[in-house]
Order: sequence, then C-alpha cells, then structure tokens
Amino acid sequence: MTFSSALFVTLFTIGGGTPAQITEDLQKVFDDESYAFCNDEKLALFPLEREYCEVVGKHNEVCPALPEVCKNELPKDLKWVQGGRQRTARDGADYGPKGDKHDDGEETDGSGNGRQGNGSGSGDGSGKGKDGSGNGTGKDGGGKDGGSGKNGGKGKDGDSANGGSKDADKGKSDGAKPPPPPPEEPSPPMEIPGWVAGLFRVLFYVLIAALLAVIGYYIYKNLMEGREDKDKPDEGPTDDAPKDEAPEAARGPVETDVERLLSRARAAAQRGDFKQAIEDSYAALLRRLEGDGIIDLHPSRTNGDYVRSLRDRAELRQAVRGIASDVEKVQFGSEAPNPTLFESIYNRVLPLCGRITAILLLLLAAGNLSSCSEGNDGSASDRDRKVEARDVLMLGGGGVKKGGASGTGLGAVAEILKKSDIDTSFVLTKDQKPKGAEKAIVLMPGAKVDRDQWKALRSWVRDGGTLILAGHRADLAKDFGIAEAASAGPGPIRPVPGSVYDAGGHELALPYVSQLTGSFQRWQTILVRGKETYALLNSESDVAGSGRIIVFADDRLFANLAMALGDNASYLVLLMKRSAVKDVELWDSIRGSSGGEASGSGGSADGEEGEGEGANGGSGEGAENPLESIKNARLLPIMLQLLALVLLFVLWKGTRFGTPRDPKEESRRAFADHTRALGMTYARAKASRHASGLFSVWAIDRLRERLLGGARGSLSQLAEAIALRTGRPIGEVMQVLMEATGARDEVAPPSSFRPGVSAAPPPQGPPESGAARDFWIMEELSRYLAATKSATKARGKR
Amino acid sequence: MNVVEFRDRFALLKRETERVLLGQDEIVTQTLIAIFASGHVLIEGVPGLGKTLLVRTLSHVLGSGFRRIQFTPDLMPSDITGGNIFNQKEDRFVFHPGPVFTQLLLADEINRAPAKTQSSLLEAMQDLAVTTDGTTRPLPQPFFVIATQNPIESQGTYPLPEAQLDRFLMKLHVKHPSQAVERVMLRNIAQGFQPANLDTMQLQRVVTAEEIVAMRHGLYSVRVDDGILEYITDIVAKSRSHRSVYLGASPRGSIGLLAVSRANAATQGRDFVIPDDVKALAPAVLRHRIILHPDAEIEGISTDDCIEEILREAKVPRTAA
Repeated sequence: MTFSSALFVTLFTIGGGTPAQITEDLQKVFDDESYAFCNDEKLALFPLEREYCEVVGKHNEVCPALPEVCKNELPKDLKWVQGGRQRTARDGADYGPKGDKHDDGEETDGSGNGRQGNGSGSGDGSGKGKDGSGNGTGKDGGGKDGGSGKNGGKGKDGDSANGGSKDADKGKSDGAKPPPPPPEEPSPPMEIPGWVAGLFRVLFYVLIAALLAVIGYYIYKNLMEGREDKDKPDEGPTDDAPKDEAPEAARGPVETDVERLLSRARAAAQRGDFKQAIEDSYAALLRRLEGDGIIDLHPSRTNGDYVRSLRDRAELRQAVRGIASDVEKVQFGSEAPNPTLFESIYNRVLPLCGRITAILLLLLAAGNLSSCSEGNDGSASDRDRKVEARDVLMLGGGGVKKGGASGTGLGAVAEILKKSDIDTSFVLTKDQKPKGAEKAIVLMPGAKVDRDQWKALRSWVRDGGTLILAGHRADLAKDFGIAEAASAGPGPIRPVPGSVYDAGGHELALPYVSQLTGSFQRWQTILVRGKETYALLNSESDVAGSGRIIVFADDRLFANLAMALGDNASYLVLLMKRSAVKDVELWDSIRGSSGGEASGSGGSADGEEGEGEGANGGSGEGAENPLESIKNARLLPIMLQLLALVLLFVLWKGTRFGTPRDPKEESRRAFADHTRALGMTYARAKASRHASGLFSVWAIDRLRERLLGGARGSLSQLAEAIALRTGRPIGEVMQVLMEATGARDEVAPPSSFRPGVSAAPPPQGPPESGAARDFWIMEELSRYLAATKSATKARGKR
Repeated sequence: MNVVEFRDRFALLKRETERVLLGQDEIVTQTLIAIFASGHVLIEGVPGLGKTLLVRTLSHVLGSGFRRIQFTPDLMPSDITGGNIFNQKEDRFVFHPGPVFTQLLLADEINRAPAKTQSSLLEAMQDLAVTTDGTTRPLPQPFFVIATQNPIESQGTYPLPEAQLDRFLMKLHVKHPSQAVERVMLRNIAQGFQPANLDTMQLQRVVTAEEIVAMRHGLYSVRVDDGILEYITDIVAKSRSHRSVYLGASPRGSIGLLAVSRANAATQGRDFVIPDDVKALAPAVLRHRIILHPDAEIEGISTDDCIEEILREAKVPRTAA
C-alpha cells in the first residue's frame, strides 16, 4: 500500500466507511436481479444509460455484466421510451442520428433523446432549424411513477422542449459549431391555470359530497318509511287476524348471485338436501334470466308468468317450462326430491346459465374490441405506448425498486447511502418544505420547486442544512452567478486537492456531459474534470448561513450506473459524511421525474437561430386536479363509456330507489266528493225516489220542528204554516208536502205504516219524469227549510 | 278418477263445446272448471255473444238434465221452485216441482227478475235443496246453475243482491270475439249452422251425470301445499284491506278459489296445485265478491283493477325473487 493509499483509507475511515466496505456493499446491492444492467448480459441500454459506457472499463468488479451490456445495441426498429432528468446539449447532439447534410447546407434530420427515466412513458417531439437548420425528432423516456401524461413545450434558439420542466439545449449537427449556450429559460409547461384547477377540485369534491348526501338521504328516507309502515297499525277487517311473520323472517336475505346460487345448490346436494339444491338451481336460472333482462323477477310473479315472458324465445321458453314443471313437482307436489331429479334439473340449468353467460361475454368482448379499436384508431401514440411499454419491460427498464432500478434510477444510490448509515428518502417536491437539521437535500433536476419553496430551502440552508443541486438550477439560483455548459471532453473527475471533500485518491468516473462556468468568486471548487469545474461548494455565511450549498454540473453522479463506476459511490458517501449529514432527502417530483422530451435540434450550420419543439408523454406526471389526472391518464374514452353504461343501466332499470310503495292513502276527501259519489251511486242504482224519500223524512221532521214546535200536526197545518212563512200558495205547498210524504212512505219499512193511513196519491206535480220530479221535491223542501231558518233562531232567542 | 283421466275427459269436453262456440276458449274452460269445482257460474256480457248458446251446448255435452228459466220481472219464486197445488181428485196438496229440479239450470237474464224471485235460488245454490211449505227436497246431482246477465241494460233490471252474488263461484265476462273468429262464425252460418237447433251439430255426450260426480270427487286427490293455502288466504285478506274496497271477499271466496285451483290443476293433468292455478282464476272468483268504495267507482277503478293490484302485492310461495 502506497502512502497516498494509506492516507486515503485513513481519511476515509474518518468519514465513516472504507472503500472495501463500500465495494462489498455495492456488490450486495447490485446482486439484486432488479439491477438488470449488472446481471443480464443480454440487456441493451438506452442512449442515456449508454453515456456511462464511456467510462466503463473492460471489467467491473461490482457490476460484472455491465461491460457486456455496454456492447449491446438496441434494435434499430425499436421504439423506446425514456425520460431524462436533465437535458444537455449532448442529449440532442450525440445520441441522435446525424442529419444528412445537403448541398445547400441544410441539416435535414436529427434526433435527440432525453435521458431515460425510471418509469415509462412516451412522447415525441421535433425540432426544426431555421435558415438551413436541421430538424430533429426524438423520443423521450418514461417517468418514475405510474400514471401517464403528456406535456410539451416549445423552445426557441435551439432549445428543445423538455416535457417536464427541464431545459434542453440546441442540437448539434455535423459540421456545425454549436452556438453559445443560450440563457437558461425553462420552457413553460402547459398547465391549467391555478384558479381553474382549484375550481375543478372544489367542484369534484362538492359533487362527491352531494352524491353521498343524496344516497344517504334516500337510505334514511327508505328506512324511515319502512319504520313508519311497521309502526302503522293495520286497518280493515283483518286487524285482529294473527300475522304469520315467521316465514318471512326465516327467509333471510335473498341470494341473487348466479354463481353462488349454483355452488350453493351443489353444496346442498352434497349434504343431501336435494329440495334446497333444486330450488337454488332454479333460482340461479331465474336470476340469470333476470340479469340478462329477459324476465323481471318479482315476488308476485309465478313460474307461469316467467315462462310467458319468454314467448319470443321459443326454445328457451320450452326449456324453462320443463325445468319449472319439475321444480314445482318438488315444491308443491308430492314428488320427493332425489339426486336424479336434481341432476336432471341442474344439468339443464347449467348450460342455460352458461349459454347466456357466453352471450354476455361475447357482447362484452365485442364491446371491448370496439372500444380498443376506437382507441387505437384514434391515436397513433397509443399504439406506440403499448409497444414501448412492452419494450421497456423486455429491456428491464426497472422501476420496481423504490427509486428505480434502471441505470439512471436512484435505487442503488439510496441503498448505498443507507448501508453507510445515512437515512435516505424520496420526497415529492409538491408542497414540501424543508425541515430538520443534519440533513442534506438533493434537488434532482426534475424536482419542481416554486419560488416559495426555493426561499424556504435557502432559509433552511442558512439554518445549517446542506443543499445539493444535482445539476445547476438556473431557474432558481440566478443569483449564484453560475452557468452550465457542455463538457469539452472525457477525463476523470477528481476532488480539488486540499478542498474539504478531498480524501485523496478519489477518482470519479462519470460521463462527460456538463461543466460549470462563471466567476465563482465566492464559491469553492470541489470537483474538477481537467480544467473544467464539475462541482462547487458555497459555505459563505451571507449565502449559505451556517449551512452549505453544493452545485454539480449535472446529475450523472446520482444514478445507479454511477454507483458501479470508479470511486463515485465512495465519494458520495464521503460527501455526505463530511457534511455531517445523517439524513438525505432526494427531492424529485412526479412531473419532474417523468419522461421529458428530448427534442433535438437543430442549430443551423452557421449557428443561427434554431427552433425546437416537442411533446413528451411521460408516464408518471402528477396532476393538479382530478380532471387533469383523467386527461393525463387518457381515461376520457373509458370514462365516457362507463358514463354511457351507467346511463343505459339507469334507463333500463329506471330510477327507482328502494321498495316500490303505493302512494299514501288520502286520509280525507272533500265533502263534495262524498256527496257526488253518493249521488252517483243512487243515480247508478236509479234510486232517486229512494233518495227523495229519505230526504223528505228528514226535511218534514225539520219543518215540523221549526214551524209546529215539534207537535205532530196534520199535513195541512204544516202546509199552512209553510205558506204563511214563505208566502207561497198553500195549494202548491200542499202538493209538495204530499209528494214528499208519498216518497217517504215508499222508503219506509212496512212496519212503519200506520193502520188506516193510505199511501199518498201519486204526485201530480210540475216535472213529469220520475227522477226530475224527485229532484224537484227535494229542491222545494230545501227552499222551505232555507226560508224557515229564521223561525228556529227566533224561537231560540225567545 | 285420477287426474290424467280427468285431463283427457276435460279436453274432450272442451273440444266438443268449442265446435259450437268459437273464440271463447277462456269462458268455456272456466265454466267447465266451475262446474267440476261444484260451483255456479254467472256469465255477464252484452247480448249476442253466445252466453245462452254456451249453456245449451254444455247441456248437450255434459249429459245432464237441462232446464232453462227466462227471468222476467213478473216471475215468482214459485215459478222456479215449484209449489203445492191442491189436487181436488185426491183431495190433497201435491207438490209440483219447478224448473230448478234439474241438473243444469240456465237462469237466463237473471237480473230481470226482482230480488225476491232471485232469492228463491239461494237455498238451491248453496244447499242443493229446495224448501217449500216446510218441506225440504234435495235437488238431483250434480246440480249447477249457469246464470247470464246483461251489464248494459238497466231499465227493468234488478241488481243481484250480495248474498246471491256470493253463491256464484265465478263471474265471467264474455268479450267480443276477434275478427277472424267472427269470420269463421259467419262462414259456418252461411254453410247451414243453426244455433237454435244444436241437434244438427250432432254433439257428442262426453260425460254422464255420474261421471261428473266422479270427476268432482277426483279433485279431492289434488294436493294443496301449505304455501298455496297461505297464498290464497293472503289474496283474500288483501281484498278486504285494499284501500278501494268497501267489502272484500268472504271465506266462501277462499273456499271457491281453492276449489277452482284444484280443478285447474287437474285439467292440466297435475295432482298438485301451483300458484299459477290460483293466480289465473282469482279474478273470476273474486270480482263479484268485492264491493268498491263509491269514491273508487268515481275514479273509474274496477274490481278487476283491484284484484290485479292485489295479485301484484301477494307474494307467491317459494318464489326465487
């Protein structure tokens, strides 16, 4: 061991772990088959992963398959998905097929590729250069988590759109000088305005709350009605009849599932209860027919009703009639249920249930096919997504491990740190606020951090936190005075001798991607690649307070593949240990980590303005509201189909809720209704004479009471009194009274006839016909009664 | 007689009757069922639908004694039951039996006679006997009354009292035949068919009076499950508590429903009653035993509507629903 090696080991030990220990840990980590790039020599790497192949030697101790993997090429006709956490100038230049340079100097084609993400996704983009520029198309990669989404951006001056949020640089074409790095302006993501999103969010939850309230109300109403019915005493002549409620109670809940009924039938048959088995088999058949909308099952419907419902299906009707007949023999006849009969019924029921099920499945399949074909026809990108998703799986893109097990994932990073006693966690940046001491926050390029969060981060740093920017965030840290530029060429990255993170002997092996540029007046360079600055540290009190800020030129150190190369893992552990960090949070966001689009493009040969645009389809993009989520997930067609199905179901079944009940009985009717009903009854029975007689009895009694003081005077006396009171001719009054008496005598029972008193002579009154004459009598008597009201009052006063 | 023989004989009877009476399958079936269920039938329908022809045809095919009484307003009870007439030669009262002393009695237009005359049939229909001057005389067996009435005419008619109505096992409504049936009817008439002279049809006498009695006895072997009894009582009980009903069916209605259900089962060769038997015949058995509230009548609700509603509410035994 040389002196420097010994010193390195000594110093590193101070940091907390030996290189040998870390190597051992790395071997254990990468033994996991999830890390396919270390274990599957047939794996082909995505272009962004292939960046690391530049620094992979012929042999790798911790990741044995990696050298072979680096030799594999992706199939040329293969579509793949990948998402990058950071785009650099090289993304658009180095990995896209170079455009053919035409005689006129126009670059016709180029493609750019984003860096592979952790999940899957899809997208495409194109860049087009002006003034003889080339144009390029590129596919991007997948996101970290589930879901899918589409985003796009448009950049100018050679910026390629980055699906999530990140930057892209102009492409570089053959024979073209790359233009100077453009000012870093993030492409504005297409987002729904905050107030719209908020409105939809509120609407969504209001709708759900309203739906729940309506359901709850109906349940409550139904329960209350049921209770009222129970509490209400029965009316009518059967009140005293004993109610036999036992059979109802014994029935219990009714099974409605066909499969369960069939299995229950089999179970009943196995235990010898063939009657139950037969009934269950038949119930399964009826339930199946009901489920198919062929019959309408109801407790009041008989088997004959069901058979009649099948009149349009002769074959089915015949079969059901036969089965029902056999079932009734057991249910109502004297035939004892037996295994033979059960088998006979069951074997006839089963194919019917199955046949109907098959038809349903067929219809369902047809519906699905139609739905699928519509989706495919409607969107070419959907087809691509399927191919891509399959290919990602085939290529072992990873993602099953937390943080991801792909080459550019973070799973191994987290595991190595954990094995070095540094707690590591993944944090989605949405609404996150930094907190806690002795902590480092690694801000990944995809992390979506708004201004407020950035301020909070800076404040947290001043309180002692360690902020690591994995790739310079020009969108946030404008005041740092740092810029990012493409790296000039290959070479190992080494700690600056004597710097705080120099343990001596570390040599980082990372793809040459970016370098940091700027004045760095108050920054301390900690890592360099040759003359290029790779990482800076700021622990000045006015910038970082009592904490520290570390800025890396790119995020290539924070990747699984990086952990397998050089002293990267050791250095990362050292970095954390020397920063007195016990806890690392890897900040990212679903949106940010999703597949960004790398579109590449094209700068012109003469370095003039280029234009790039692209759209990505990274899966795993987060949604701000449910509507956006549905939109991102491309679930709208399915949601519409479901909605249509629900609508059809409602139309089919109606909107009935709960048990149908008769409308509440009217407790009172208008008196006029009763009178009319009574009158109609008399009229129907042609009993006007009878009605006239009854009324006459009552009216004459009242008149006697009023005019004769209740005395039993003769009819002529009464007529005189009435004539006197009303001023009507006595002859006319007498005629009315005689007719009324005649009518009265007709309705009176024979026992009421007084001996010697003959019935009144037939009336000789004005109206000739019977009913009209009866009515005339009643009207006249009513007039007399009305005219003699005052007599009663006067007598009462006296 | 077992149910299979019953079914065959019944089918033969029906077929023979339908040779004369076209397009009235339901009426023929239900009338025959009522006869075998030991009941009487009230057939209601507008004139000209073949009510009387049906009964006359049945008298031919049933092989029973047949008498017809044309009810008129001046018909007296003794015109039906008969009475004691003094025989001067023998110097004593001799009973002269009325037309009721037969097996199949057609009471044609029964609602044309006043209530007291109609009531003369009460004892005969219920007890199958007639009492005159303190002497009760049994009627020949089998005895059944088929009465007809016209629902439209009201002049000079007397509605049947409830007690009388209740004694009819079924009340059947005769409807107009379909156009196709009417065409066939006309063709038959054109070819010489004379409804007034059924002898030209050479109707076959399918059963004898003794066989009718035997068939009636055969119905006792038809099994009735407890669930069916519960179903019948449920229906009848509901007829009493229905909101539109003033007076529901009597226990005689339940008994009648059970009897016709058995007969219906037997006509299909079944030795057990199923809910369909009950449900199919409930309207015919109950419709004349239910009196509606006047307000229900005003609303245009009929007894058939009520029964339909009752049947929708009554739970069928051993249903899968």
